[in-house]
Amino acid sequence: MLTKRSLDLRQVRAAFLGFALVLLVVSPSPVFALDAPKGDVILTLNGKISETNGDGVARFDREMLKAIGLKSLTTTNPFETGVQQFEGVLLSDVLKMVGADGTRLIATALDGYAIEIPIEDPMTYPVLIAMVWNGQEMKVRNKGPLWIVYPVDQYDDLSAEQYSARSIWQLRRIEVE
Amino acid sequence: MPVGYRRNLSTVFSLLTAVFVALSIVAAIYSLSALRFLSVATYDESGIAAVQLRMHYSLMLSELRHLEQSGDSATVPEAQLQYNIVYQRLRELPGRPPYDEILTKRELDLLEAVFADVRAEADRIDAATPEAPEVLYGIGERLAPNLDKIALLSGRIHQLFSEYRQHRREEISASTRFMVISTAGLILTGMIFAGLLWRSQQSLRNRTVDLERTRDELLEASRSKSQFLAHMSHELRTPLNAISGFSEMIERKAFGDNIDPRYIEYAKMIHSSGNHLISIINDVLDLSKVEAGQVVVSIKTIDLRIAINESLRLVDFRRKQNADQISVSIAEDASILHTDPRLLRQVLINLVHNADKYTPAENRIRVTSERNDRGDIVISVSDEGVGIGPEDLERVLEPFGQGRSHVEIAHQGTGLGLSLSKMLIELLGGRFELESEVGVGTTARLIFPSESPISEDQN
Repeated sequence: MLTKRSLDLRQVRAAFLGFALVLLVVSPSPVFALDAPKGDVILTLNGKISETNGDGVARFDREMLKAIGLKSLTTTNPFETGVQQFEGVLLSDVLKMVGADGTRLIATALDGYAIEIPIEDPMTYPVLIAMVWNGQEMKVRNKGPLWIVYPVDQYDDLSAEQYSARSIWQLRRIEVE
Repeated sequence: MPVGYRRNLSTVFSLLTAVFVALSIVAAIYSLSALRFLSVATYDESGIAAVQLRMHYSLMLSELRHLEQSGDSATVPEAQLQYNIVYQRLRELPGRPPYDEILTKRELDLLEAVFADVRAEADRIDAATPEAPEVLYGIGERLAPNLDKIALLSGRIHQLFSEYRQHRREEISASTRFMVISTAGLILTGMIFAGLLWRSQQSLRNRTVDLERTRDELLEASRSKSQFLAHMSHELRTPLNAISGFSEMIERKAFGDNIDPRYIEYAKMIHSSGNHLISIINDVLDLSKVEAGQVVVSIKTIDLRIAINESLRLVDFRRKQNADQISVSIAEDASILHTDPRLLRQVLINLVHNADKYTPAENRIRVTSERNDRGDIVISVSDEGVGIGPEDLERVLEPFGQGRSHVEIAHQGTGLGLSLSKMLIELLGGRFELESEVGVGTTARLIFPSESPISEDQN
């Protein structure tokens, strides 16, 4: 009796699982780990990433980036005179969020300018994707919407010229390679 | 090399070194700051941003023109983006290092003029939508004449930057030259220093060798002197004994009275002089023995009451031996001493003899033995004699001192007795002190520490 009953139970469970699987496969809209952007997309990540909200890409609007958590950074900058104040998200936080798994990043600006950033940079230093500069949200006319900023004053090594070249402004896309 | 000259030389080289060290530090700071400036502030050293501005300006114009010609409203966002990029570049260029440092008023005015024209279109650009692209028409035509200005600007900036780079290069090469010179100077001074050091060490070594040789020669000479003195004293004593002995026989009229009394008087003088000479020779012999380290010390436990009284008995006093004139006082706790009895007796006889010699017959001589505060046994011989002046006090303790005191000459002293006594007491592990005042008297003290460093002879 006992054996028979447990057998019955297993069959029921298998049937239920099969039904659930069929439901999943035929489901009309795909389920993504990341929410879909509601506003204008200002940053797109693609390449070797595991978490997406589109066809192999992770797109972010301003609100989604803000939700990651804003950090402040006060430092001098090779392109400006004097000390500047920035707010934005850590590049490493964004990479973690999309499950990036690569050795380098190709960052592209709105004007098509592209540069390469080794993955060690965001892993070693608190490299910021700045959204707010001296208290103002950054617009395209003011190097916006995003600017990769290195903490030059906090780390002596970062005053080297190669880091200046990696500080790309009007950032639009990051490809993980 | 004279010492003064050498000291001047080392001062000069110290100053030179200081100057070169300071120069090196300044050069190092200068180079480091120049290099840091290069790595940070002058990221764009070639004026690339100006070239990019020119490129983006052309792109913007072609986007605007393309929109007007094709009327393709889908290109509106692209035209807006190109405008914004140009706007951003015009806006930030004058304040960007090193442009803020290099651009002259001419370039700044040009930039400002172009930026004013571009800025004037901002509202129209913002108002444009794909549905209403017409707002953008005409902008391209209005902004096109500025392309020449931007081309000129880009050329000028390129020129200014090459001058700037040349200037930087010269700065770096100057600082490098500066560093090389100061380093070379440092190396040179270091080498000269090393040379001087080597030379002074060499001369020091030579001088040490010379001094050692001189010391050996002096030691040898001193040894020869002592040997000579010991030898001579011995040789002189033999004939002197004959002089002393035979003159005494004459003086005592050993072979009858039939002799002129004047011969007796002469024989007395011969005998006395001979004895004096023997005592001098004995002192010289003893001194040279002590100096040559040939005196054998034999420590015994002695009773000072016996030793002192024996010594007093052996002195041939000029005065009549009288209890009032010679007093002896020996404390109970200062009567036993471990020392060499023969040498102590020699010192005591010498001191008592001196006291007797220099003290008028009616004055007193005192010999005492007692313990001082520290428990040392102190034997003192005091007299009420003529005394020794402070200027002679040191001298009388030196053998063959620079000059004998007048007192000694007057009393026919040898000048050796006190110094010999001092040497013997020191040989016995004690201390010899002399205290004197002219006209009041002299006190000689023999101080034996309570724990004498010389142990008793086992024999």
